[in-house]
Order: sequence, then structure tokens, then C-alpha cells
Amino acid sequence: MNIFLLSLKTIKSKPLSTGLSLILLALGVGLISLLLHVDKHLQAQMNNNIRGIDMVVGAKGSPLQLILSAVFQVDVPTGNIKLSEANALQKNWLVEYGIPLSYGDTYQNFRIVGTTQKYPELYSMKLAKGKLWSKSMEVTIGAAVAEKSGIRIGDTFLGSHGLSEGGHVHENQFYTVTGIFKFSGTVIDQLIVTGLESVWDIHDSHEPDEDHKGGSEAHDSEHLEMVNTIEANQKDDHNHKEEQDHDDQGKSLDGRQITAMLIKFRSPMGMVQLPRMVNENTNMQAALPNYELLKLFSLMGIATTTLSGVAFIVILVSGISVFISLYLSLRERIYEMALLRTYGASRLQLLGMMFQEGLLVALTGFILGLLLSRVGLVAISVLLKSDYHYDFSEFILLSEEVYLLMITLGIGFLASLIPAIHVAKINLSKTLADA
Amino acid sequence: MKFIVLTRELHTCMLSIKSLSFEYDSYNRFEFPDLQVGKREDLLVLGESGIGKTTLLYLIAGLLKPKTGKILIDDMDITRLSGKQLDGFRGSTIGIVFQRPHFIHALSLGENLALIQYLGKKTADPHRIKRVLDSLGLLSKYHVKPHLLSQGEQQRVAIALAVVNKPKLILADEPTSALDDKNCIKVIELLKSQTGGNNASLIIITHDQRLKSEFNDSVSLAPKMEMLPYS
Repeated sequence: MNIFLLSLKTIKSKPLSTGLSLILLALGVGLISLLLHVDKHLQAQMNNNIRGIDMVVGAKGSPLQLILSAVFQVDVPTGNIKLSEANALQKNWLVEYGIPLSYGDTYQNFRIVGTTQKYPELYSMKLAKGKLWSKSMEVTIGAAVAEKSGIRIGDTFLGSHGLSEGGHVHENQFYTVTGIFKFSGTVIDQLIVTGLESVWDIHDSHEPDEDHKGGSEAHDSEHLEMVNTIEANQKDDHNHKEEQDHDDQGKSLDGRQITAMLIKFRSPMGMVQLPRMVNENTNMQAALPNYELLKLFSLMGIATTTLSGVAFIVILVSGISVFISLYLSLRERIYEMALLRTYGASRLQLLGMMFQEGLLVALTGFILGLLLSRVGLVAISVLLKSDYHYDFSEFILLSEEVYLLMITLGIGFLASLIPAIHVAKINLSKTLADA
Repeated sequence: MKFIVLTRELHTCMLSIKSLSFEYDSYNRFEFPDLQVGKREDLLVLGESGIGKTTLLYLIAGLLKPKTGKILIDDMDITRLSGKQLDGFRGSTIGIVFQRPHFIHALSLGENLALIQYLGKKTADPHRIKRVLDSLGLLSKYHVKPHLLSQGEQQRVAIALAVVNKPKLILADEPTSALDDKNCIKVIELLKSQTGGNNASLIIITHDQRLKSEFNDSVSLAPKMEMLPYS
């Protein structure tokens, strides 16, 4: 038997008030910890995915939707753009590289993205097995796709049209898996990546060509106009020549469409010139992922801040509950305290006992809160896996949670402060005589 | 108020009080007679309510600081000890039986006794606890919370709490005032046997005249003008 055990037994001897304090603390701590984890994970995930992408070009519509669909593959695309237009932009001297993306088909809810080999390169993807696709209808799949769908190298499957289940199945157009990427924590983990040609081949045979032709003719004049604009911006003869080359290629691919193009600028000047140029002079829109995400985070930030505020109030209320519980029981315990003093307990020991009780409740509440937040993370992870394909698998202790622990312990300390002062000032003979 | 001075010559002293006085304020001033209690001797201090009996007990226990005078317990002047030293000395040397028994509610009877051993800086000794409880007929209540016991049992628990650390001096404050004649004698017998078994001195402070016949030595506290004989 010692003071620590006595504190423990005292806490256990009043299960109702201790329970209330613990529930409040665990709720507050759990909520804040959950928010911290989700926020951190989302930000890391998003920053991981926009690295190397300065601008996204796609059909006109909501810029945020364009970013979400083209970069994160979580929203529906805004529409299609002409490859020739996009390629023309790619030849601008301010553009370091452009990666065309063509998507809209799925297999078992995993998106099939037609692109160039620059796309996996952008995320420094490494192959776990097999090789990259080399011709039409060959695909390389992300780690999560391989794990959840169970498809392996050499397997074939049919894609279905549309981004939700139950879309039209492209019959007789079998994809063949040639490789599987290693897990990277980027969007590609959740994707089936193939060449642009695969997507075109499927839809050429599937969709009537007249629509495309008609559409593309109508855009031809605009296309030329845009090329002229780009050329006007270029002073370099070499680039000019390339532009000519591209024009020839563009004509051979006339009518080809892509969904979006990811663009990296050669210099910060691109940030100033290109978005405006694209938005004003072409039929496409340019969206800046950094800017859109900042907007998104600031919107999310309001919700996060409000929730954190509420959670802190809950923690504070639990601190008050600890205080009230200690203070109320003090009246009946003041005699016990005096008694302990007569049996040889020092003032310091009794003070330690009061603080131990407050801190023990705080610490237990904090641990319960962390457990609660981890349960919440598992729940979110299970919920989101089927929806957004993001893994919440990091259960590590965040540095913010260490601060949270200090705040919680601080509140436990403050809650025991006033009762402790009362105990320190205890008048032995008077207390014993009054009892 | 002044108290008449009653002294007894004793060979070896457990407790010795000299020219002790205490005041709560200028109207409540007490002067106590010089007292001496030998080792293994018992003393009954009789007095009416309000005469300062409990004050004297608290002074001897070091719970109050006297205004003047000396209190020597086992040749140690406790008036010179600092607060922390006093807490330690009290825990290891003095056992107190309070008028109304009180315990730590969160702990069982056995745990209460173990805590007292810890606070008195004694090594944990479950055998000693069991022996004390056995001698008081409380062994079966080891795991029971003391406040759930009957009043007679609680009074015995109070004795157990006072003697478990084998203190050299046991102070009892009105241990029998709430008891009927039969239980009164029983409690006194228990107190005597417990202290005798531990080679301790026992000082009982009471207004209960029934106890007079049980003790060889007794002093009466009284206002100075009223001379009271001592037996």
C-alpha cells in the first residue's frame, strides 16, 4: 500500500464521477486526435499527388472539379479537350512537360487512365512485377488495385464505361495486365494505367465517329487561332520549328480527344502567363492545383477549426468535472486527510495524492481518447476504402498529440490545484475536532 | 484558567510534560499540570467537557503546537521538531484512538492497516496486520470496507489502526463514551491487552467515570479553584 495505490483506489471508489470525467476527456481528446490524423493524412496525400504538377488543363467547368478528377481521380471529369489543342500548348516554351490523361472507364470501380509513360515517371513509380505497358490494350496496375481486385500479370479483363458500377461494358475489348506497380502512397496505387491508344481504340470502335468529326471540325478554326497565339508568344526559332512539327502530328491525330493534361512549368513565368492565356484564348480551362487546394483546405479549415474548438471545450468541461469531483469529495475526505496526517503522512504526500488523482484521470482519459481516435480512423478507413480509395493506415503518435497530452495533463493539474491548496492548509486539530 | 499541578514520581519516563500551556486566543487559555508516564504504564486523564482534555491529547500527539512548555516523548522533545519530522515521529511512535472511528473509505480494513504501516515508515507486514485483526476478532472482516461494519466493530477497528505500527505511546480520546457498560469494559480490556502486548504506554483521556475503577493511575484535570482528589 502506498500513496499511488491509495489515489488509484480513491478514483475507483467513485466510479460515476470518475466515469463522467473520463468519458468527456476521451471524447474531446479522441475528436481532436482524429481531426489531426485526417487533416494530416489528407494534406500529405494531396501534396504527394500534386508534386510536379503546376497546372491542369481540361474542359471548361469547375476548376476544383478539374483538379479533383485529373489529379486525385475522385471526381467526374469536366469533359473532353482536343489532343491537338493540348499538344499545341505543350509546345509553349514555358512548359517543361505535359502529361495527357484520358479517363472515364473503370474496372471494378478502379479507374482506367490512358496516358503516356511520363505519368508513372512523375510519381517515380517502381514496378513490383512485370513491365510497363508497351502497346494498346496493355495495362500496368497500381498496388492497391492488384491487392483488392486480385488480378495478376497476364490476366485479362473488360473495362466498363463510366465511373460508377453498372456502366456499359466494352465487350470484346480485353485489357491485358503486363505489370504491377509498387505501393507509392500516390493516386496511381488506385489506378489502372494504360496508353492513350487503348482508350481511343475502345471508344473508336464503340462510339460512332460522326459525332467526333463534327465536333472537331467546328473547333478547327479555334484551334488554329490558339496555335497562332502560342506562336506569338514564342520568340525562339527552334521552338517555332517544333510547333510546325507538332502541327503535322496534330493533324494526323485530328479528332483525338483527351480528358485533361497535367502541366509542369519551366519557370515561374508560366504561372503568370499560361493560365490566363489558356482561359482567355482557348476552349480549355487551366486550373492551378496549389491554388485550388489552398481554397479547399481553407474551406475544410473552417470545419476543422470549429470541431477542434468544440473538442477543446469538451476537454475543458471534463477538467471542470474532475475539479468538481475532487472538490466535492474533499469535504468528506478532509477528515481522512487529517487522519492520514496523524498516521504520519506529510503535507507533501497528501498534495501528491491530490495531484495524482487529477493527473491519473487526465492520463487515463487521454489514453482512452487516443484509442477512440484509432477506432475512428479504422472506421473511416473502412468507409473510405470503398469510396475514395485512400488508406488511413498510419497509427503513429503525431507530435501534435504530444502537445495534446501536455494540455490534457495541464488541465488535470489545474483541476487538482484548488483541492490541493485546501489540503495543504488543513488545520489538523480543528478538522479532527469538528468531525 | 489554571490547572492544579499533579505529579507522580516515576523511574523511567515514556512521557513527560513540563509547564505546558496553550492558547487558542486570549480568552481560551489552558495551562496543564506537569505529567509523567513511565514505560509500559497506563494513565487515565479525567475531566469535564471543555476543560481542555482533547487539547492536551492533540498537544501530546504533536497535532497542536504549545505556547510554552516541553513535551518529552521517549526523551524526544517534540515541541522542537519541524512539521515534517513531527509527522514522521507521530507516524512511527504514537497511535491515536479517536472518539469516533474514521477510516479511509476507499480502502478495505486490511488496506487501511497496510496504508498506516506505509505512512509510519514500517515495512509492509501482512502477518502483523492479520495478528492484530485476529486479536481483536476482526480477521474475517479483512476485505470489508470499515464503514460497513457495526459500531462495536468500528470501535475495535479504531484500536487496530492505533496499534498496528506497535507505537510506544497510545493515546485514546473518549474511546468509550458512546458505548454501553458491557462494551465499555470490553474495549478497555482490549486497549490494555493490546498496549501490554506491545510494551507500550496507554493514556486515555475521558470524562467517563466508569473507567476509574479500571486504572491504577489517574489524574483529574480541573479548574484551579476546585480541588479534585485523585485516586
